[in-house]
Amino acid sequence: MSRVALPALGAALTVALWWLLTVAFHIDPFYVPSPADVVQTFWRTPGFLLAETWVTLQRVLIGFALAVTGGLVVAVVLAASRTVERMTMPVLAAVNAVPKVALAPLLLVWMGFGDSPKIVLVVLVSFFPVVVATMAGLTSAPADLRKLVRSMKATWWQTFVKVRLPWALPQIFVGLKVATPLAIIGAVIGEVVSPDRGLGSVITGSSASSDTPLAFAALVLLALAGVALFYLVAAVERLVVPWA
Amino acid sequence: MGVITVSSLAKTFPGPVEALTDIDLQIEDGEFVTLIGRSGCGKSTLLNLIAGLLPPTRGTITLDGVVVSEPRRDVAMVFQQPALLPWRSVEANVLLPAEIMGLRGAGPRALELLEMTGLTAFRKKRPHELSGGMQQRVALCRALLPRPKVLLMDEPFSALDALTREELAVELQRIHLDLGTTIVFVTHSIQEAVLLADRVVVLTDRPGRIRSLVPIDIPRPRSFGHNAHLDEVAATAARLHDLLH
Repeated sequence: MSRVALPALGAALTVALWWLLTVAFHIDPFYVPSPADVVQTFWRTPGFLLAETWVTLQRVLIGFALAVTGGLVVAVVLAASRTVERMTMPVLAAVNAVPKVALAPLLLVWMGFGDSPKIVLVVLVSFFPVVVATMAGLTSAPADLRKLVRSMKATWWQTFVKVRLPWALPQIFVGLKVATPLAIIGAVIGEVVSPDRGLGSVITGSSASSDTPLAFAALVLLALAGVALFYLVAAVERLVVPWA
Repeated sequence: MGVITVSSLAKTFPGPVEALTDIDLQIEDGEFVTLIGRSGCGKSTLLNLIAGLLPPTRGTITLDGVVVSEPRRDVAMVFQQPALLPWRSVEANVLLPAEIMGLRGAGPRALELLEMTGLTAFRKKRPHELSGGMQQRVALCRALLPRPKVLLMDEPFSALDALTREELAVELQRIHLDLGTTIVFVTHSIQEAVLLADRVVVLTDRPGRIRSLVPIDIPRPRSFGHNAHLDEVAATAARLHDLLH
């Protein structure tokens, strides 16, 4: 009950506070529209906004899937070999430290418009949390357990499949939960820098035409997509990691 | 068979930290030996050396005449923490060695061991649903599954409450009597050492040397309850106490 009711109540209170502030301070909808203005704007062109949401979501999902797959593979390779880890860790840390926003214009130069630069940006921002969390997870099995499987003369593969990977799953999911909102941010940055379609492009366009309520409608849809993705990952986690 | 011979053994860790030196010890087949000493005296190191998990700096360890240079599948271990896999049922945890070693038909053996330790009703449960004492029983079943010649136990009861400890100590004596496995048991508890051992190996502070070998002839099963040998248990405990101080 409270698992549904409390989050719903929290969301309702936030919207109420937003509404209250716009009314109490007589804020011009041109700067901050009220929730009612936003809903009204959405119902003006629901089909259009949902279609753009779907475009963004597709980019997020494809990029996220690529980042997770790549992140898991890279983490496993790094966790398997200390030599490789020591060699590549500084490079990975350096690449991770580069602000991805700064890469967006470059991606536009290299790839032009279309899906690819956005998907690449999604991969870039959500890849590292997955790598870091998976590596931490793969090295987190307790010392006694590692000693135990060594004493049984388990092979590397047996140790990996039967102990280290399942042991890493809860931490891998922490990484996935950190990466989901980043994936959305990545897609939107890509769309803002090279607008074609998607909610990021809608926001860029609405600013150009001073349609603040439309920008807010797009932001709300992005937020909802983020919440949906987060809870989707959490639901998968409960299925895959029921013991944690 | 499960005869362990330790000769002129020494272990120095980088630093250098001299953990053990001049260890000579013969453990007979089916003997129950406890290693006792203060913390940091190298008793766990000695156990890990016998397990083949660490290479000795000097000297050798043999098991049934064969030099121990790596872990062996006929030597099993139990640790202070049960080290169970939280996603597996009790039964599946016990069967882990069978999967790793490729033993076929271990199912009935697992059920037999669970029956012996009173865990039959819990075999479908996950470890977190069990008490600490029960979890440690599962770890013991897992160790015994491949019928090891030698069982190495590293303070297996020290994370448990006093009552559970004694209960398990009594149970372990019974299991030892039934199976005749050679057991090397590390503890820092004098009571446990007296209760369990055929022979107590008392180690000095670092670097660990053998201070004394104390045979214990008190009839089994031993317990701290009222019984005919209460005075002998107390006297032996007092003697070990003196040797450690």
